[in-house]
Amino acid sequence: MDRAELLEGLRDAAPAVPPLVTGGMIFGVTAVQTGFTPLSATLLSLFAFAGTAQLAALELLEDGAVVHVVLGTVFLINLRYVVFSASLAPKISHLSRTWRVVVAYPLSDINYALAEVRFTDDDIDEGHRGWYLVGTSVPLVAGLTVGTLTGALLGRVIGEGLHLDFAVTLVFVSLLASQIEERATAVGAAAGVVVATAGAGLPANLGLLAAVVLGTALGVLAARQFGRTEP
Amino acid sequence: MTSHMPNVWVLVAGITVVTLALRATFVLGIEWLDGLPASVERVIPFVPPVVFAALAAPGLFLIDGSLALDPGNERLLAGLLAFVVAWYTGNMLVTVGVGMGALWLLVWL
Repeated sequence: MDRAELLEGLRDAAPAVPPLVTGGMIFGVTAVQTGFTPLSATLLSLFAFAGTAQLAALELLEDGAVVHVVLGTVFLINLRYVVFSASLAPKISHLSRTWRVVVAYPLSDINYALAEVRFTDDDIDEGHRGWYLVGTSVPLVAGLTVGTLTGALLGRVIGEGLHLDFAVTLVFVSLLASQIEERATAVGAAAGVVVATAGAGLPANLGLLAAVVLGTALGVLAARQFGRTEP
Repeated sequence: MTSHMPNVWVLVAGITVVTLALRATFVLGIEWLDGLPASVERVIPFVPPVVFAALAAPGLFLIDGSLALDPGNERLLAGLLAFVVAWYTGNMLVTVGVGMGALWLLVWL
């Protein structure tokens, strides 16, 4: 065990923990009001550790979506993990299979970004990279899970009159604003807004599917047109 | 609670399996997989913002399925304010706080 790398990871991830706890609370409160039990909501955060996709599931379930629509949306939102996985894999290819299972399970935006920065440093012994990933991941997973449990227990007490489901929508508004980094992304998102709103009444959430396909296609085309331009 | 709510344990298992499979792809399969094709790698970053926009928009712009672009639509006003706050602060907690505060104020007024 490499204590120094573990502690370094814990230190680097610490600032990201409070937002995850809050995000977990928003998920927990809304999850129990949607039909999850505190136990199932908490275990979902612990097992999947996919806060954004979990909130998307709630947004869809509130509108009566069926399982395969929820899982399809989770797949789309989490497709970026394939990119993270592909980028990280060669940097930890020396690790044993067990180690790679351990570090793949919680791989998400924050610990991936920290690892990308840390692992370009040649000073780090490759054998210790697993411990750094464990150090960054443990507080993040714990934060989301504890936040979810807290929110789920609170959600049993808090009434539905506070419109707390709107907090889920606001998380997506916030994520959207943070991801519009170039004009092409704004074009894709705007198309997503129009198509999803126009198609909201279609059966089987086909409006969402149409919005994602058309919005992504327009975004990619716009990127070809504009290159990388600030919005 | 919705009337069509699927079994929660099916959801827990499904979301976990889908998510972990995506994370495992290359970390566990690097011996057999070549890298991601450049074309795929270019498209994937465009997907999340479109999904976020598509998830948020209907709840903001529609009331009971009809377009509601008027000041009586409290969620639209609060959501637009939240977007402006998110754009300038980049802080999710502040964004959610301001948005919820605005909604409560508008509903109460």
